[in-house]
This record gives sequence, structure tokens and C-alpha cells, in this order.
Amino acid sequence: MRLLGLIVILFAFVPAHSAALKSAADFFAESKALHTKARQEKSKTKKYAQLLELKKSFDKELKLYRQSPSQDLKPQLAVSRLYYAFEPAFELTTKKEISPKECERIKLSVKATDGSGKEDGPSPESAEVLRWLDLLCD
Amino acid sequence: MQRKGFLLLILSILICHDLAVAEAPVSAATIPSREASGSVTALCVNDKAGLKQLHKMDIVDTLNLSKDPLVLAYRKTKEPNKTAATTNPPACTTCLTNNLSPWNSVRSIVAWSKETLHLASPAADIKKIKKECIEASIQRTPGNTGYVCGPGNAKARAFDNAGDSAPCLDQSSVDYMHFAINEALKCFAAEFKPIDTRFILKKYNNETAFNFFLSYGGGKGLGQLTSAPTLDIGGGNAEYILKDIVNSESPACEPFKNVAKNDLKNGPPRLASSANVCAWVSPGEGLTRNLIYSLGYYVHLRDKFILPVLRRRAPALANNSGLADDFTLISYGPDGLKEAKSLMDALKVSDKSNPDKIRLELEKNNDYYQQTEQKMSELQDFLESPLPLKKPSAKTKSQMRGDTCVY
Repeated sequence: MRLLGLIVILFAFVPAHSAALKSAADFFAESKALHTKARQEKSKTKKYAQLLELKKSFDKELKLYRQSPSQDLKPQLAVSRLYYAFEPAFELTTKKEISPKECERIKLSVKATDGSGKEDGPSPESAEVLRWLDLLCD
Repeated sequence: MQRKGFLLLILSILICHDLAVAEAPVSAATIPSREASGSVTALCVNDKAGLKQLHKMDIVDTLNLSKDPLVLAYRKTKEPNKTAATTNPPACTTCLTNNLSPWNSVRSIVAWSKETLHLASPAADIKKIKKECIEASIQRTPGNTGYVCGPGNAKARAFDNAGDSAPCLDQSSVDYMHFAINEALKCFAAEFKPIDTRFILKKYNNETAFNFFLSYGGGKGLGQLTSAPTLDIGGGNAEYILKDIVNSESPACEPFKNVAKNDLKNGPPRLASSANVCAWVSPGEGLTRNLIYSLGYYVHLRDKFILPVLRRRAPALANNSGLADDFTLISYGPDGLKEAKSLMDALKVSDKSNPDKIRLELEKNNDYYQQTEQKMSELQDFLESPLPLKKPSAKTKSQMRGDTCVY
């Protein structure tokens, strides 16, 4: 019993980040699920709320990545890339009103700063953000 | 001495010379391909070793036929006794050739004064790219598709920019590029925080090896531009770039004003359309536009995005280390601004960071940055010898930073 108690105490102090952290693919899936929920909401505030759930999830996971002792930055960079692609959309949720013109400017900025050399479309990260912006700007 | 200077001043005001260059015949049809006759080994600056066997003079010919403002400004620098505005009789850059009214004389004095004052201003101190470094860069053939663009309505002709199909670039075409790029940097320095010239050298070396006539799916012209950034400048969030050039009082901006004015009024030529290829890659208008937009978007990314974020994280580093340019270079690459920000985050950039260690990490974690460094190393190899080196020498930090390529 004492041994069991000791094991429980030991595991209580095992750092949370030793468990696998969410990947960029996980966040893409999460974004798609929240986007579906947001589409069903009628008010802008409730749509924003779904996006802010995503932001909360990003913030939590990136904090763990930053604390991780891992030398391989690739998984963190992939998640960060998606997070920073979303920044213009997260900033949108702080505005009470936004004109269609301002919305178009934000979308243009997302496409222009995307860096993708492909003329037929932006990167998957920016494409996901633009889906959200289309919904929030509607 | 003072009297002599005064007399020269009066003389130049009263007699305004026509500075138009003798016009070359204009071809309205597709530019025919011309091959060089005789020995070309010494002629082709982009084939100093003679290994590529270049002989097509098309790009040189279209440059010689061009009457665009940037080309004319370059030709003016080649005319004797018409360049220095301070000691010689001033070059009448704003002269009205046939109207000698007193008001025009006054306007000429004002224009000359502005030109002289500008030469003395801090913006005029911006470093230039050395010609030999452009020459070293063009030894490499980046491949892809190039376009020959004649003047007027001549139809663009595509060619394979590889092997002996690549064009021969003679000394005058290199001299022109050297002038055009440095003049653009000077123009931008007059209106915005000066760009670190070394990064522009690295960028153009990496993107196109200064082959300004390239156009393919990945991008157009010297800076390999894509649609969205051009739309952002030509009527979007970065429209101030064009406006500031149009309103600039710097003589260095004069050759760029026509294109800037046109694009402010009409929007930029749609980049994705093949009909507009010459608007982005021709030696005159194309290079002018490409310089405005590629330097303009660099400035926009640096000043509106990178510097604010870097200043919040590491104010001292932002102002002193030059790291802002490293992150701007990355944000201009294929992974864009989100990549630059994610690297700043992941590398925990702060005022305690060692800039050189950060740069090593950038090279390790970002393919575009690594590629830029690799191409810089190749440029340095070509500076050493136009022939492929059996054993390339180790490069110093100064060489890799581009210090030895600016003056």
C-alpha cells in the first residue's frame, strides 16, 4: 500500500509534457470541428467564441512546447506556424465591428504574407485561416 | 573661382540642352533572336569561363532598344560631363528643352538645388552592391524559363534559360543592373528606413542569380514576385509604398515614378496573366516594377510585421543586431511571415540571445534560409574563380554576411 502511494506520488510529479503534445495535424482537425460548430451559430459573438476556443487550445499547447526539453523543434514549429497564420483571425475577435472593406484587407494580408509561391492557392495554414475569415466576415 | 562657378551656373540655366539619347529603331514585331558573331568568351560576363558557350544576344538587344525611364537614367550616367551636379555645370534633369522663359530658369535652379542637397543627405550614404558580386552571381544559370521582351507591343518570346539557350549578358547589361538595383536602394533609403543592402544581394542571388528576365510558376522577375504581394502594394495594405515613391523628392526615385503612378491609378498588371509577363520581366519597365515591388514588400514585411514583434520580444536586439533582416528574409521565403514568427517563438529570441547562435539555428531549421546561405557560398566561390573550384575554400563570416560585396 505504501509502495502504491509512493508510485502515485512519483507520477504526480512527472512533467505533463512527457505525454505526446498535440501536432499540427491535431490542430487542423480541431479547427475544422470548431469551424463546423461556428457555422451553425447565428450571432457573431458565438462564432468568435468557437475561434477563441481554438486560441485557448493553441496557447495551452504552445506553453507546453516552450517548456519541453526536446531539441527537435520541427513539431513545435509546425504548430506555431499554424498559430501565427491564425493571428489575424484571433485579432478580428477583439473588434466589435468590422467593415467588409477591412475584412478584405485582412484576407489580402493573409494571402500576401503567406509566402506561398503557388499562384493557384495559399498554403494549407493560410487556407484554413481564410475559411474562418470568410465565416467571420460574413 | 566663385565668379567662374557663378558664370557656369548662369550659362547652364540659359542654355538647356536636350538630354534625349539618340533613338534606336523600334521593332513592333516579335524580337528576332540574334547570335553573337566572333569570339564571345570575353563578351559574355555571365560566362567568364566560357564553359556555357553562350551566344544569344536577345536580352542585350532588348535593353539597347529600351527607352524606359530607368534605362534612360542609366544611359545618362554614361554620358561624359553630365553626371556630377555639384562641381560641373548641373545636369538639367528637369529642363524644359524648348522653353527658355524666366520661370523655367527658376524651376531649374530649384531642381538643381534639390538634387545637390539630396546628394549631401544621409539617405545618399546607403551602401551599394559591388558590380563584381553581381558578375559572380550571374555565373550560375538558375534554369527555368526566360522571356525576351521587345519595346512597344512586341510579343514576348519564351526561352529555356539553360545550357547554351541561356542569354549572353554583356558588360553593359551588367552595368545597367548594377545601376538599377543600387538606384532603387537609394530611392527606398530616401523614403523608408534604409534596407540592409547585403540582404538584397543575398535575396536576388538566391531567387534568380540576377536573371531578371525569368518567369515561371514560382514567381516573376528579379524578386520572383507572386500575385498577392503585388496586389497588397498596388491598392492594398502596402499602397503607401507606391505613394511615397510618387511623392518622393529624391532624384533617385525619378526613374521609378512612372510605373508607381501608373499602378496607383490602374492597379498592377495582373501577374498571373501570361499577357503581362513583360510588365514584370522586361529590362526597362519590368525591372523597374520588379524592383519597386520586391524592395517594397521587403520594407512592408520588415517595418509592419517583423520589427514590431522583434521589438516587443527583444528591443535591444531589434535595433542593434541586424536580426530583423534575417527574419524579414525568412518571411519573404516560401513559408512566409508565419514561419518567421514561429522561429522567433521557438528559438526564444530575447535580449539575452546571441545573434550569431540564432542565425545558426535559423540555418538549421529553415530550408529557405539555408538555401540562401548556400547560394551566397557559391557566389563567393565564383568571386574566387569563374571556373568550378576543385576544393572550395572556407568562407569567413564577413564573406557569408555579404560584407565584402557592398561598398
